[in-house]
Amino acid sequence: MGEITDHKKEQLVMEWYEAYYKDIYRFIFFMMGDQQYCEDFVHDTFLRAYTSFERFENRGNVKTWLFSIAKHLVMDEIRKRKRRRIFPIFSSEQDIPSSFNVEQYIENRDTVERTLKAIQKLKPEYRLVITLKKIEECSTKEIAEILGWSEAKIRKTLSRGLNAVRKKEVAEGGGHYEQTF
Amino acid sequence: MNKHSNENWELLKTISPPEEQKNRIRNRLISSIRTQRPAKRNYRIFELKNLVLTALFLLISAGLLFQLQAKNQISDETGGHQAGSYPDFTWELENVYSEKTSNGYVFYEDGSPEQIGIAEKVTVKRRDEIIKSPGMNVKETMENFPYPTTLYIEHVKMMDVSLRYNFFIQAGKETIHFSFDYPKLEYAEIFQIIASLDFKKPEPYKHDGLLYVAHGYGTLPFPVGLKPIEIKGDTETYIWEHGSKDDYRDYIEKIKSTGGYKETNSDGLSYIFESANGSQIVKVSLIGKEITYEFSYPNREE
Repeated sequence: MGEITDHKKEQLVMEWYEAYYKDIYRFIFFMMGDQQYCEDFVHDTFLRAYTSFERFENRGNVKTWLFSIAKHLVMDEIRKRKRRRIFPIFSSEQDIPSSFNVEQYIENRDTVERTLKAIQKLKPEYRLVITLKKIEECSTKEIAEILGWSEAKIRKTLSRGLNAVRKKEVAEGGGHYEQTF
Repeated sequence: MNKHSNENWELLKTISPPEEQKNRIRNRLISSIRTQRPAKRNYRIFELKNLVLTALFLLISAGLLFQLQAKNQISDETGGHQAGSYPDFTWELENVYSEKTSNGYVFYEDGSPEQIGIAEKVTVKRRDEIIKSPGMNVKETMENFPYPTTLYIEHVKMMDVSLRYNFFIQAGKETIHFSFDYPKLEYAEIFQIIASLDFKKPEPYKHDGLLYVAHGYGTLPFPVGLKPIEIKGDTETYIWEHGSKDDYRDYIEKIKSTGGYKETNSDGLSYIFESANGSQIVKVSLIGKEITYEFSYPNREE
């Protein structure tokens, strides 16, 4: 295969952007719990996809590759935040960011906020697996590829994570969650 | 039960970012991608150009560097002090020294070749450009500091830097921009430098009482003048060299007065505070000159 031109590379990355923007944005939002970093991290995810294009093997899955880049960015930031004592907004008293399209489920706003808060209080590993599985609807195999874990580890982490969400929801008088999948 | 749970997840899936943000990021991304290219192309051109030009350039540079080094040998590596045509200034943090550059000064920590900060004289236009850069987030006016000082915290996503503290200091007619990288320097050290700056002309304002600052995005006030001993996980230990018992009392009152923390327990040496929203508990203890902060987060699973 000949060397891909910069123009072609840009074209491909921008196509990926159009196709996966929403997924990557939502993943980063669920992981970080605030919008402040979303814009930067979405930008950085696709820019990194462009700069390390050569490392992407065509036989791989673009979606899992993009998620794995985003995952590295957010996990780095979470480690830094832990040191700086910065916590996601949903651990405090704040609402869903106003620029999100919440109108369509305004009636369920309380439920959504409560669940988001519960997810934000989880360990990052639980948050990763739950977001990828329950929100982004990745298969266990895809999650294994993104995180570099075994499928068994993913099943176990997901089960424990869902259990933790359920406990937090129950503690706050909220809804119910399935414990396994 | 499962139906209810599935409905919850379905609701969460409907969260989607706004279109205008997508357009904004798209434009930014295209611009970033295109700025990557010329750099590469130039590099190729540089590689292909004849080596004679490169060698000539290196020869001239080496000569200039040699001359500069000879000229600056005496004055340019004094820890805590700088002089010259630049505003003369000193600070009180012995492990940090600076070196002069064509634009101003670069700061280093003893024993490390890594740059930890800079100082440069800036015009109003340049200051505004820096302030408007996308990573700038927090603006704060530093109360009772030696010179009128405004702090801007910048988010930096580098392997070894997460926040850059930008200070704009008005020294007479000059505006000096200082920036320091966290965690290359700890918060306490960054504030120690800025709070002890002395440009001689004009003379610094000397505040009678203690100066207080927040570390990172926390709301807990810390006194200026702490020397980090160990900052590990949720425990931080500092030496408070000039902190007297009266100062400690003043400090405890300061924490209470912020309204962000309420005292839940104390034995005269240690005080336990709970943040207003209950998400953070901090135990502050002073033993001799050693002040320790133990943080815990009752609502956090991690």
